[in-house]
This record gives sequence, structure tokens and C-alpha cells, in this order.
Amino acid sequence: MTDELITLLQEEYGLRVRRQGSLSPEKGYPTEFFTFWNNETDGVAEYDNRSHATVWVYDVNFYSTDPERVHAVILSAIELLRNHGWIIDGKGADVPSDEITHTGRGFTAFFREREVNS
Amino acid sequence: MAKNNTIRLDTSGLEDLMRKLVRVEHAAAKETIEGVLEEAAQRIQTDTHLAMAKNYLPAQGQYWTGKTAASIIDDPHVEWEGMVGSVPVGFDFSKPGAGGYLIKGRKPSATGTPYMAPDPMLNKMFRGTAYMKGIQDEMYDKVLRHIEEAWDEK
Repeated sequence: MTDELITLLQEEYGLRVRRQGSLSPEKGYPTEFFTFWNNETDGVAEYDNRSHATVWVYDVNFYSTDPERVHAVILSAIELLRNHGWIIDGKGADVPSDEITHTGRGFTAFFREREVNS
Repeated sequence: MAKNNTIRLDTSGLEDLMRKLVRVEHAAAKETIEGVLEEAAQRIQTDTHLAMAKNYLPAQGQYWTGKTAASIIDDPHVEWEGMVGSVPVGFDFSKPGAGGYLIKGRKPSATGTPYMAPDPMLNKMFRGTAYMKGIQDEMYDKVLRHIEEAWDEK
């Protein structure tokens, strides 16, 4: 699911999608970019002594030097992911930025992956 | 002379039941519940301090300011609202710098920053479901054991 999330965002926005915490302070922030973090994967639909589906939980964040774009891109990213079966509640929230030049907003996205042949 | 007809009601079983109920009432008393809650809160406090150890922090703690650790709730007290007892755990968000970039607020939202990954221990404790559910389950088990022991006392 990580690959799918990265691919969806990269193909739609043409921007790098990086794991949260992987940017180097020496290199600084790009002008705008996405980050993600996989918080957990819960096994659900439990019967016959095992799970038959998985709920993937990701934080998705967008940072930019343009604060207006931060709001617009997050709303558009939420719509994009919902159209591909992701579950997102709300319209995102502000997230801290290391660099004073950038603002960030993020949201939590869920995807229920059903096991094949379940 | 013939004996009068009588109707009888044997309350000896009721008396025994009342004694058990009184014991159960004591077992489920506020003091017991507060003890269970405070024990759980202390465990969470210990785990939170452990999670703040520099070797667990993102970037080996190089962004450590001490503010987040200083906001850990160290002396929790149980508060009652009617029949519901609660105890604060984790961080005192009224203190400046509490949680900071490591964990944000009560509603799920992004944590960490592009330079600093979320602390996996804190994430597991305060944003995942399994850790707190485990603590809750243990608390319920302890209270049920108190009640069962009181019920079974001779």
C-alpha cells in the first residue's frame, strides 16, 4: 500500500513523496513536497483463527513555501485518495515545519485491504 | 388439636446474598477503582519516560530540548464524574512545548517533521489502539477479580 500511495501522489502532483523524518537538515526542504508515515496496519475480519483483511493507516503531509497552495493541495489530495478507495475523515490539520519558510498540513488516511480469495 | 395451615418464607438464602453483595460493594468501592486507575497511570508514566529516552527519539535525540519530557504527567490523581473515574496520562498539554513535534494533540494528525520521524514508542502508546486497549483490559480484569474474590469469600 505504501507503493500505491506514493505512486498516486507522485503521478498526480509530479512531486517527491518522502518518508517523514528522512529529509536532511544539511540539504534543506525542497520548495514543496509530500511526506508520509505508516502508523500501523491492523488485522481485521478475524475468523478461522486469523485476519482476512488489513487496515493500513498513514499520515500524509504536504509542505510548501506557498501557504495557499498547502490548503489547496491537501484538499485535492484528500479527494484523489478518496476516489481510489481511501478513507479520510475531515479536511486535514496544520502540522509543524522545521523550516520557517514552509507551512505544512496533513491528514490521516486509511485503506482496508481485503485478502484475495477471502 | 390440628395444626394451623401456614405459609413460610425462608430468608436464610437472602441474608447470605446480602452479605455477599455488601462484600462486592466494598470490593468495587471508589478506593479500589482509584487504586487500579493509579496503578495503570503509573505504568503509562514509566513507559512514557522510557519512550523519551534519547536513544528512542528521532535523530538520536539531537532535537531534544527537555520541554516535552518536563510535561509528562508524573503525579496523576483520579477525578470522578458521577460513576466514571478518570486519570490524566501522558503529557500535560497546558505546559508550553508539551508533545511538541513528537506527538500532536488528541485528534489523530501528523506527527514528526520532515527532519524528524515520529517517535515509534510514543506513537504506539498514544496513537495506536493496542497499547491503551491492553491497559484498559488489565484494569477491568483486576476489578473483576476483586469482585469475584469478594463474592467467593466464605
